[in-house]
Amino acid sequence: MRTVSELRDAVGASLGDGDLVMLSIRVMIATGVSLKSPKPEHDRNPASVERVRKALADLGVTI
Amino acid sequence: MSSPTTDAALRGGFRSAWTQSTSTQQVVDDIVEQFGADVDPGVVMVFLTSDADGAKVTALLSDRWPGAEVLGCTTAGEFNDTRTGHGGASALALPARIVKRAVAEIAGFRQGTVEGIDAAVERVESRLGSCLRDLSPTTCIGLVLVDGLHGDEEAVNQRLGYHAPALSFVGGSAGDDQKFAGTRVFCNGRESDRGAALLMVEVTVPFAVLKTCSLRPGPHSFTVTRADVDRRVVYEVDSRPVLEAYAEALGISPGELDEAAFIRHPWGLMIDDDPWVRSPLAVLPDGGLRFYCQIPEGMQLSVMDGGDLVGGMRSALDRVRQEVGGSVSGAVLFNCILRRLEMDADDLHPVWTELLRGTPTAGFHTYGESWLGHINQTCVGVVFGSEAG
Repeated sequence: MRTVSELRDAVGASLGDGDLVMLSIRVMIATGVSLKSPKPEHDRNPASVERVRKALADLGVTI
Repeated sequence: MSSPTTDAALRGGFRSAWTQSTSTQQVVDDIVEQFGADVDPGVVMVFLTSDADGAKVTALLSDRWPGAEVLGCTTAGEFNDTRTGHGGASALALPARIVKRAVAEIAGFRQGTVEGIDAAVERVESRLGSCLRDLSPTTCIGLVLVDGLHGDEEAVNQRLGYHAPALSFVGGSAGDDQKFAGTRVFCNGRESDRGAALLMVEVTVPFAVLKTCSLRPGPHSFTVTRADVDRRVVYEVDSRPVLEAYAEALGISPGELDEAAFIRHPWGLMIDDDPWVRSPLAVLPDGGLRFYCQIPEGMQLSVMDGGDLVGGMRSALDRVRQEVGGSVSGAVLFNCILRRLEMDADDLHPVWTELLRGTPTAGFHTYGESWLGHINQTCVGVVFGSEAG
């Protein structure tokens, strides 16, 4: 996956909306990147995508 | 939360206590007396000055109520719904009849934070008979009290998120009356000065997480471009020296960046218009700005302006009261020491107590707050509804 949006959609498919809200806050605090509504400058930025992927892995969510 | 303690609150079985004593036996006697002879707690929380022997206090309370989980920590001030101060203790009893299951454990971090949390979670899950991931976030809530001087909070919150991504762990960092010499957490007579006390409780009443801070974003925001994350230090924002950019935003010189400026204008990570505050701690000789929590590179933060601490708290209490169905039976609150300093300066303690009056409540002034992550200059807590809903 090459965008934060794609990560979000993949996570959302396996979690409920409530879980995604809490997960998004955790990821935002850890990375500064919004999983729920990524800014354009973050969405396709490989470094941002990798930071989010690592934060998700740290939370036990692997894509 | 604005009327005298009601019959309904007493019937709810939550009880609070507050004492100015530091004598172990007197603290215990005061808590037992104020809880009342008919109390039947499933969980007891006690927050007390670092001058008191918290391990002994929690041991004696465990002896008094062997069926209850007893946990607590040292503080930078204690309050309940009738009194506020520092150098004493506050306590809250959750009634056994609303506690379906409860387990409290100490996580020790001397062998590593992740290892300590993992081991404690394993013990919690063994005693509960359930994996945390299988618990319902609508009936189960976690509390986390972290020692406040070792900077473990981010790793603690992250690892708890790993074990229980759908559950809330709410809490605070233990204080030591601003001596910054040593903080401790307690659980059923045991203690740790490098660890956390964890509680997982399943209740039969609705509950809601309270989060409020009195700050709002000002016109200036930065993106962090160089930071030492582990040391909680920021060096550059927008590719400029942090002290220069921060001072310019406040209209002062870098040499004027002091504690007063930090308290009035901390930084905030805005998530859906809600600030998750990161408070500066000190200017470093190497040009860095140390914070009370980690800030990663790439994070965009607003410079915050002051607001209405009391009004924000009142609104937050109204909001959670509605969330739990309109009737509140008890609450535990974790309020930042920096907010307490603001309350001291503006003589806000009487009105703070007035906001809580009528609902058995206990809490303490913290060295940091926890909910989904580590935050600053915020009040977080858990507010419980009534059995009638």
